[in-house]
Amino acid sequence: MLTIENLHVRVAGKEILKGLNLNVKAGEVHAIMGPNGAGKSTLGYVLAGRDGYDVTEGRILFNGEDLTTLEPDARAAAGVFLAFQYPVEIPGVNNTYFLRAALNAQRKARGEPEMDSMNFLKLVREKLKVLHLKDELLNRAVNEGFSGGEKKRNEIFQMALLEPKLAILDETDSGLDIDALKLVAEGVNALRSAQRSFVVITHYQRLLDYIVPDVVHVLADGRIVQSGDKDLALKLEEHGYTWIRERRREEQAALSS
Amino acid sequence: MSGLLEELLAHPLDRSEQNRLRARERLRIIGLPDARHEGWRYTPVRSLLTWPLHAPEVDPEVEVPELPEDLIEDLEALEPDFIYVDGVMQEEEDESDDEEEEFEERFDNFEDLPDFDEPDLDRAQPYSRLHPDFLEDGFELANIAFNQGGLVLDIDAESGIEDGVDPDAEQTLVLAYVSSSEPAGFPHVRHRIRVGAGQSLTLVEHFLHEPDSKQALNLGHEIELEAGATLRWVRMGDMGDANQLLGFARLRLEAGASVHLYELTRGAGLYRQATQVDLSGVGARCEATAVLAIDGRRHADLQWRVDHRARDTSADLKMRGLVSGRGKLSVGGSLIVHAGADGTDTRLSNKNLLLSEHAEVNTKPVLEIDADEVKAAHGATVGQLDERALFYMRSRGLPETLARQLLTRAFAFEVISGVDDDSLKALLDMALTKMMAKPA
Ligand SMILES: Nc1ncnc2c1ncn2[C@@H]1O[C@H](COP(=O)(O)OP(=O)(O)O)[C@@H](O)[C@H]1O
Ligand SMILES: [Mg+2]
Repeated sequence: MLTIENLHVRVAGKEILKGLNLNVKAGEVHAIMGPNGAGKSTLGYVLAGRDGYDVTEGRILFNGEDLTTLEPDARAAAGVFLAFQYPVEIPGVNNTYFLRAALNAQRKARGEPEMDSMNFLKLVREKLKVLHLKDELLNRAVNEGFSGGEKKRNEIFQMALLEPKLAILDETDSGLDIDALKLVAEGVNALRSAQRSFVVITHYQRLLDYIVPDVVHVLADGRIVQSGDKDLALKLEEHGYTWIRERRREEQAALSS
Repeated sequence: MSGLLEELLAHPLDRSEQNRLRARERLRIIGLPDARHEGWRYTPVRSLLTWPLHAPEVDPEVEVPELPEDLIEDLEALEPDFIYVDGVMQEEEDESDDEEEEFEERFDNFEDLPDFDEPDLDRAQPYSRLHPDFLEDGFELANIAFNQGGLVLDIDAESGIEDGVDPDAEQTLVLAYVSSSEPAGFPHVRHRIRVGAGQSLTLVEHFLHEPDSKQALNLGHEIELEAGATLRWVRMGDMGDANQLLGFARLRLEAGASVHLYELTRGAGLYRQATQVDLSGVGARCEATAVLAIDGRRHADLQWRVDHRARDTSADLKMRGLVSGRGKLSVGGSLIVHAGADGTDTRLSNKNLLLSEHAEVNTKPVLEIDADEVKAAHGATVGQLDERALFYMRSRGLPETLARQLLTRAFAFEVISGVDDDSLKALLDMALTKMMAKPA
């Protein structure tokens, strides 16, 4: 589904990703963990196509297609979804209107018929229930006045509605209490299927108790420095990120000797 | 002295019209403004000086320009009470129903200024009670000196009762101004409106144009609100790429009176509206909201000034500019709290969006406080669409043009979100929707 080869990304003149490799097959859930400032959000943004995140080397293939040539909205229509670490408030743009416009823009881009408001509302109600979000949030402006937890759940709600092929969740767990965390996990697990892949970025292992990953990667200093199964996350939790740093130093020492 | 001014002053004038004479004498002394005048710094005055300034001979029955069908349809849809084509009021041709006639009879219409000496009309001369300091603008003086007339409205409780009309009923007056493609020089129109104690008026002004019109209009308003009177004033439209508007509005509010002004416009080739509000009575209030969407090579200049002259007066000014193409917008907003206007609450917020590389905004908020216990706030910003919001929307699948449209719309509509009067809200919604529908 997603193949990233030797990815180098510059942001504001500074190289943030420095040769990142990642291969996510259809149906898999990959967790990406790493210290603050490692470049996790940068990876999410570059996949979603944010301006100013320039690929200077390497490539990103999404179902065999070069993703970097597509505009952000074309990527969305192709099935890429990024749940933002910091969802954006958009005053004056009605949430329901926004969601329907987004869904229909994607459908139009894919050559599918638009969804009428009756069917749309039915779909919305269905998905809202899973995340225990209040109906009332639909009538507000996008993310405006939402609590931190509501914003995060709203991201997952949008994902459920848009049914992407590849969902990247950027620290969707941070700032959530355990109940909200479970709801988010439930929302994600409900969408897991053989055709859909997830890249779950998280700082803490906790989320991975509820969304059990197939592969866990450690991202540090712009590269994947370690990959393993879900036990790697537990080890990280136990030893902290300094453990990874020390291990890398040992590895590099071994290499150079 | 510019050739234009000479031409102006050579215009024949009836000696008996003292207001005009006074304005003319003042104009002779101060001349027309140029770019060195602070208030005109950002306005291309020179382009105004190219017009044959005095108005053509007014004879509406002879020369009524033919307007294209679709413009006539647009006009009819607005149901205006009065239509000005190139600054000339059009005579009603069709027989209007009784109700309309009755309504119109309550407003005295003059083709020209009333005689200054006539006592009945003294009440309709609010300007004479305005502060003389403001007679400092050559183009405004030209409007006073050379105007070819305008509406004189006097709305008071007695006339309402006499006509068997509920004195508390809301009165609505709709005016439409059309720029035709006939060359018409630079007409000067001046309206005088007085809203009597406790009365209320809604004044709606629409600006329309023929696509290939090239006109100028010098439009003056003198408005007086007596104690407790209310004016809702909505100005909206699009005056076209090649037309020019010079607008001067003077308002004077007595105790407890309030004005709610909404100016929603796509401007004109050159659009300059100066509005000055004198809050001269205790507790008088001015709420004003402008949304200007300026594109192409248009230039708009919005100058607002509120003078707080009495205790506990309040003002809330909101201006929003959306500038694209090579459009230029300049915004001046002055809040002046005079000595004795204690307890004043005055605020101004001007936010502007630059929607293209070559768009330009100049904004100058001014605050002067000479009184005690004053609450004041003013701020101006010039920025671009929120890049994060744009990316967020696009990442959900919205094409860039739609995402931009939604964000600019949201920016414009924010200022009318607090309007709680349903019919006014609908009118403003309609105006903004129309404005924002065109590519910005
Ligand atoms: N827009 C930006 N401008 C400048 N530096 C940035 C920008 N975005 C990210 N960075 C820098 O890139 C590095 C990685 O950031 P980020 O991807 O947000 O890390 P993480 O999500 O792993 O905490 C940090 O050093 C951060 O300061
Ligand atoms: Mg991050």
